Formats: sequence, C-alpha cells, structure tokens
Amino acid sequence: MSGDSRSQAGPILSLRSLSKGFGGLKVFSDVSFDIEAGTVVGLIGPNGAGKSTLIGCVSGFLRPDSGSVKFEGSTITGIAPHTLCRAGVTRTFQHAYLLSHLSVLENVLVGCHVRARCGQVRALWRSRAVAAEEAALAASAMEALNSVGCAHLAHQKAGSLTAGQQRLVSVARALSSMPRVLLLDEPAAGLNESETTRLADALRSLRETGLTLLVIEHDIRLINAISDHLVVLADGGVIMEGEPAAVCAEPTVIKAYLGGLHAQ
Amino acid sequence: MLSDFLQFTTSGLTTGAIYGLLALGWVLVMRVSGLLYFIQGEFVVIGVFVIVVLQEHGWATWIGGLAAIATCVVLALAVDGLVMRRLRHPTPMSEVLVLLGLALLFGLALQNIAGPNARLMRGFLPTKPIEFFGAFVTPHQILAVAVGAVTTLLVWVAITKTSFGQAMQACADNVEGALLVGIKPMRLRTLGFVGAACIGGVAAIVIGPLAAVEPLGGLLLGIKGFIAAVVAKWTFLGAVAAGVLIGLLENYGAGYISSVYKDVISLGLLVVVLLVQGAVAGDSSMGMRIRLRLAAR
Amino acid sequence: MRPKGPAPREQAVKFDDREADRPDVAQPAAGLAATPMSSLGRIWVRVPQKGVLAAAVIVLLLPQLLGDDILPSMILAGLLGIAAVGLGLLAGRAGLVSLGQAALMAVGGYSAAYAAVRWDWPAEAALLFGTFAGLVVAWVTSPICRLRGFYLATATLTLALIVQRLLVAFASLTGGGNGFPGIPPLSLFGYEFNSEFRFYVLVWGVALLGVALNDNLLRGRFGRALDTIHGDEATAAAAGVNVGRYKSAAWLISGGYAALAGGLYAYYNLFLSPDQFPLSMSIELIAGVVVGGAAAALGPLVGMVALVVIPTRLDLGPSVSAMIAPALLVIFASFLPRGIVPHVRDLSDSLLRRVRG
Repeated sequence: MSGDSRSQAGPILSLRSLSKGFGGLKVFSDVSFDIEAGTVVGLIGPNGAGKSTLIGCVSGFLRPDSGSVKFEGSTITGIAPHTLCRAGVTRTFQHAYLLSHLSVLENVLVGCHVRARCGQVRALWRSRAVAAEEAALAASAMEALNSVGCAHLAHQKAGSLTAGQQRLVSVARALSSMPRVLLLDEPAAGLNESETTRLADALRSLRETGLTLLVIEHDIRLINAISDHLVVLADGGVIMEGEPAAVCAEPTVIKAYLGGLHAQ
Repeated sequence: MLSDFLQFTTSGLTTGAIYGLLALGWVLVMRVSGLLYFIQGEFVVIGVFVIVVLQEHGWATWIGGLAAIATCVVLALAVDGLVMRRLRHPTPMSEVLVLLGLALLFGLALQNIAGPNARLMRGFLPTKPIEFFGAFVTPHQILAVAVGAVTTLLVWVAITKTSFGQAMQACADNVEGALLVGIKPMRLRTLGFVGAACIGGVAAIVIGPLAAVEPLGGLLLGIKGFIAAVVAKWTFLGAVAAGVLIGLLENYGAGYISSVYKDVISLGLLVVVLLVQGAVAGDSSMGMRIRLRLAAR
Repeated sequence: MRPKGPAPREQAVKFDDREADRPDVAQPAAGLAATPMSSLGRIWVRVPQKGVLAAAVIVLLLPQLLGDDILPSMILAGLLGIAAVGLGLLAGRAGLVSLGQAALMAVGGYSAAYAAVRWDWPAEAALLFGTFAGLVVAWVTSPICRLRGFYLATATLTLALIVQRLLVAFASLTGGGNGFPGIPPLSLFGYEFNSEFRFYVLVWGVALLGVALNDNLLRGRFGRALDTIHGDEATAAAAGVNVGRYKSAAWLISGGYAALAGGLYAYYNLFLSPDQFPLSMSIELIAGVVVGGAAAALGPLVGMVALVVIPTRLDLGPSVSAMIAPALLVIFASFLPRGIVPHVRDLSDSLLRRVRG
C-alpha cells in the first residue's frame, strides 16, 4: 500500500525538543522521540496531556513554540497540512467529519486529492484523460476501503453509517492519499468491541504493508495489541517510552493514569 | 479652526452616541445567542416612524416614544417566536440570511406603508442652540449623548450586577453548568432580543429630532453598529466606545476631507478589521454560539 | 450541528510553504480489478447535462407558449442568473456566502461600458475587458474569502456598499449619480442583437453554458475539494486540499461570472447608474441561489426565474415585488434550506418509484 520500508539512515519521523503553550499555559515542553519506519508507535497519556496538540504540531496544524520535527531527514516544522499530506504525512481527527450527503466512496475519493495529476482546466470539457484518472482514483479508493474492511459500504450515504464505520471510512480516506506516515487521533473513541477489533485488524494489516503509524489512544488493550513502541506523555513531557509490556508495568506510568483509565 | 474642530466633535459625539447604542444592542444579542442581529437598525427606523406618525395625529411625543419601544419589542418577539425558533437545520449561515432578509423586508414593508420619504421627528426640547467657543450644540444633541451614556451605564450594571446579567455570563462561558443551575438559554435569548429592541426604541427617540430617517436606512445604521461591535470584539463598553469613535471619524472625515467618503471610511474600517481579526483564527463568538446551540437542542 | 475540529493554526500568517514533492508518484496497485465506469456513474449528479438540454428547449419554447411580453423579465432573470450561477459555485458548493455579487456585476458592467463608450472598443473586446476587470477586483479582494461564516457575509456586504459609494464618488469616470449613458447596442462579430428575442437567446445561452461548464468542473476533484472545504476546513487541509487556493479559485470564478453578467446587463440597458446595483440586488442573488437550490446545478437559474418572473406575472407593482426576494429568502432559509430543485427531484424520484411499483 505505502512506500517500501527502505533502510533509511535514520528514523522516518523524529521530534526534537518540541514545546507548545497556549496563552501562557504550557501544554508540553522539550518533547523528543523518534519513530522508526514501518513501526506502530502508540502515544498514550492522561487526558489533557497534550497528545492532540502534539499531533497538531507534527501535522502542520499548529506551530510549536520551539523545537523541530523531521520527516525522512527534512525539517517539516511549520509546513502547511496540505503540503505535508502531499509529502506523505497524513492525519485523522477525533471526529470523522465525513460529508454525510455524499456516498462513502466519494468521501474516500477526497483523500485521493493529492494524487491527481490532471490539470483542472481539462475538466471543463470532460476530457477523456480526466475521466480515466477519476476511474483510476476510484479504484484506489475502493482498495483503501477494502483495507479497512468497509468495501461493502462504498455506495451508501455516509450519513447512514454508524460511528465506528464512519471512523473506519475516515481512516480509508487518509489512506487513499498514500501516506508513508499516518497519524491517528484516537481512532477507537466511541467504538464498540467488534468495531475496535476490526480497527485493530486493519491497523495491523496496514503495518504489514510498511506504513508507519503514530496512534493516540486511550484504549490500553488496543494500543498494546498493535503497538511496537509506546510513548507516554504526561505532566508536560515524555515520562517514559519503550516496549508496551514494560511501559504499562512501570509505576510512574500507572500513577499518571490513576483516576484516568481502567487498570489492566 | 477650533470652532470647526469643536463642531465636528459635537456632531461626531452625537452620531457616535447613536452608533454606540446600536452596538450595545448587537453585543447584547450576540452574547446571549450568537446571532448577528441585522434587524437592530430596523428598530430605530421603525421607532422613528411610529413616533412621527403619532405626532402627526396629535399625540404627545412621550406617548409616541413608549409606542415606539412597544412596537419594537413586539416585533422582536414576533421574529423570535415565529421565525428564529422554527428554523429547521439552523446553521450560522441560515440564521444570518434569515435576519438579513428580515431586515430588508422590514425596510421595504415600511417603505410600502409610509412612503419612501425620510421623516424628521418634531423636537420635544427647546431648539435654541447653545454656543460655545464658536461651535453650536443643540439640546437634542446633548440629550443623545446623555441618553447614550445612561443607557450604557444601565446595561453595564444589568450585565454585571443583576442575576440576568450573571446568568448571561454563565451561559456564555459554560452552557452545561448554566443548564444545571436552571438557566434556560432560550428564555435568556428572548430577553436579549427584548433588551435590544428597547435599546433600538430609545435610540429612535433620540435620533428622531436630529436627522431625517429613511425607511430603507435601517440596514446601514445597523451595520454601523455592527462595525463598532466587531472592532471592539463584542465587549459592551468597548462597542460603545467604538461606536463613538466611528461617529467621530465619520464627521472628521466628512468635515476635513469630503462628505462623499463619509460612509466609505467606516465601511473600509470594517473590512480591514474583519480581515485582521479573521486572520487570527478561532473567534470566541463562534465558540459561544456553537456551545449555546448545543445546549438548546 | 457541526462539531468543532481541533484548534486551527494560531498563526495563520505567512509561513514557509515549501512544496515537498513526493519522489514517487503512487499508482493504483496493480492486480486489482478496476471498478468499471458505469458503477461510478452514481458518484456524480445525474441530471445536469440532460437537464441543461431540457432547460435549453424550455427556454426556446417559452416565448411561443407565454408570449413575447415575458421576454424582458426573462432576460433580467437570465442576466441575474449568470451571476447567480457563479454564486452557486461559491456559496452553494464551497459554502462561502458572498453578499457582494452585485458589486462585481457593477464592476464588470461599468468597465465594459467605459471601454465601449470612452475607448470605442467593439463589444467583444469591451465584454472581455469587463470580465477581466471583475476578475482583477476579485483577485485584489480575495483575502476576504479566507474569512469564515458570518464574517465573510458581512465583509462582502460591506464591499457591496463600498463599491456603490465609490461609483458615485468617482463621478468623472462613472458619471456618478447621474449615470453612465450612451452604451451602444450589442453586436458581436457582426451579428446584431437588435431584438429582444436575440438578446434573450444570447443571455440564456451564456447562462446554460455556464451551468454546463460549472458542472463539469465540479464533478471531479474540484467539486470534492470545495465540498470538503464546505464541510470542515481542517479535514480538507489534512486530506491535502490547499484550502486557501481553492477558496480563491471559487471566488475568482464567481467574480468572473458576475462581471460577465454585468457587462451584458450594460449592453441590455444601454445605461448604467450606481443605484442599479444596490445591496438588495446582492441579497436577491443569494436568495435566488438559496431558493432554487444552492448545491444543484440548475438551482440558481430556477431560483432567479422564480424571484424575477413570478412577481412580474403577478403584477404586484415595484414596491411590493421588491419584497418577494427577501421574503422567499427568509422562508426558504428557515424551512426549506435545500431549495426548490432538490425537493422537486426527490418528488419526481418518489413518483417514478411509485409508478414503477
């Protein structure tokens, strides 16, 4: 699905000393960690720790106060989201924001935007090149839907889907831009058991194709099931990172979560 | 030289007082409901026409004034009950279009009923102008400024000291909490509309003797109030101050540069301010409105 | 009810927009059966091209059926309709509600008139110049389209008011309040439009051509981009849509339509004055879009016909007729936000279903 996991000289995504605050309130400071290509990294932490803010800084929606983000060696701090998407870094949101009056397939086609090569002007007279490209994009959109197990929903109106299905479709939409790094903001929020399992399967199979994932999640079981590496964000910084089993057993991590999540 | 400046300043302060009153109404409605109250200007125009017509039929001005305020309140309640509460799929845009359409509709209806000519109210204070340092000010102008100041003070006290005001602040800050305490956003909203209507009626009483008012002039008047509210980022005192500032700027511009550009100045200011403010994403009033809408469902 | 997305960029001012081009252009994976075109047919709105042809036939037959006295109001509806078609793209699809469309009509009209009268340009060149002038003004004012929701509406409304006053102020160029007379009758490439019917066919030809072109443009990724921007800008940006550029494109296209409409209006009226482009005309245009169907291809034209022709047929007199547009705007925006065309389409769909059993 995505690019090959070439043996890069370094990590595919690396954060260095990122700090972000809003109006005097420091959300986090001096956050640094690396993400190796082809791995799934889980970003966990109590509510309000700044996980979504961090994703925002990485994906170009927010400008960090200091620090830098590097993608495949090049600095991407401050680059606009649409440019980043074209470069191979895509994110999803906590809400799916599908266009409810359009079909599922059309929604996923939105994600193919960056891959279209035909000039728009030719669309004015419905040139055959444009039509051919549309067909090709539709095919790859179907493939993206397939990879999250929603191909059977392709022609339904997006508004008629359950929350879980909508979430999966939004992941498919992000996938259809053929990213190399996918940032998922709480993909399992509001999903029931079976939907979460379906999501976990989808994410695992995505990892098989060489896609790099950074996933924010509260659902400890899901995170443990799919992650290769965990980063814990709490109290304004990274308090721990490492193997999922080790991290979850760590007392400081458990303490940070007291009152937050259910224990394992 | 000085007398010119003083003259422009007095006219500016007077016009500014009117704009300030209008701005007050805009901010009040925005704070309680997140709506852009385009019909604010219509209240003033309709109020003036009510008073003028009653005057022509021999009624005393103060009765006309009360009738004007009453008419505006009835109108505001009608708009709230018949239209605003019945909106299907109320998006911010549809509300804007509805209120804008209503504003235009009221102006046109007024024109149909009362004719296209501008009307001037008969003054109720002695008309002899007072001279100072070569400039003239009429008692009506002083009244306009005084009423503007007093009304602002009253609204300010109401917002900060009374339970209604505190309820309104609570609603704006935290709807869920407000609901828990028993505040009903919809009722607050209606009160806000009524308040704005009263302010409009009062502004009508004050502007009537000063300048002839056209039936279609409500939109532009209302927009001046909107400009002030936007410039002041929807704060009460700030909006009034901005209204006064706009009135002064207009009069200085008209006096020193050219009267042709009078409107262009304030309108241009609005566009500039909107662009500057809009460039800084995430304005609070949008958030307020969304939260209020969420609660009202 | 639209939930809020994540906090947008706080510093939305200039930043390094380095284009990072992808070294490998991803191709659809081989080995998977490509979905045949026919099943994609459901993606796009079915009606427009057939609808455009049907509308063309109706337009041609209308004077036969209803008599020639319908021509003046239909011409006006068509002229406003051209501007409304542009507005339909901007406000209907992209969700950028502009209340300044009449201002751009005025710019196009006055520029074309100026070129025709003061520079003696032939109509073809003057109309092109008018459209070009409108595009320039749209380009200059394009920062406005970055505004959101009601700030955009108010900024464009203010623009409309400013333009009207400037037209009066710069009297040496525009004739000021006295107006701009002396526009020669329209003749394009030697063909003289010396009858109402000819002008009628021209105006509606342009309008329907505009609908067809718009529809083609909006079928593919341009339309999807605008739809996503309309839905949620952050999502659009994350999906790779350059939100600012697409909004500006929609703004410019809409401005071009308005300017062309203004130019043709000048050649119809043979006289222009600032009070021909009041704020109420901008409101009438948005009313036409809303009433006819903001997101439907033929919606704006249907809406303008409803707003212009029906009051004339009912013979209500000018002051009452002026109230029809805002009244319908209020009614439709409150209770029938999708507009006439989608409701009619739904009705005919359900009727067809019932007939088929």
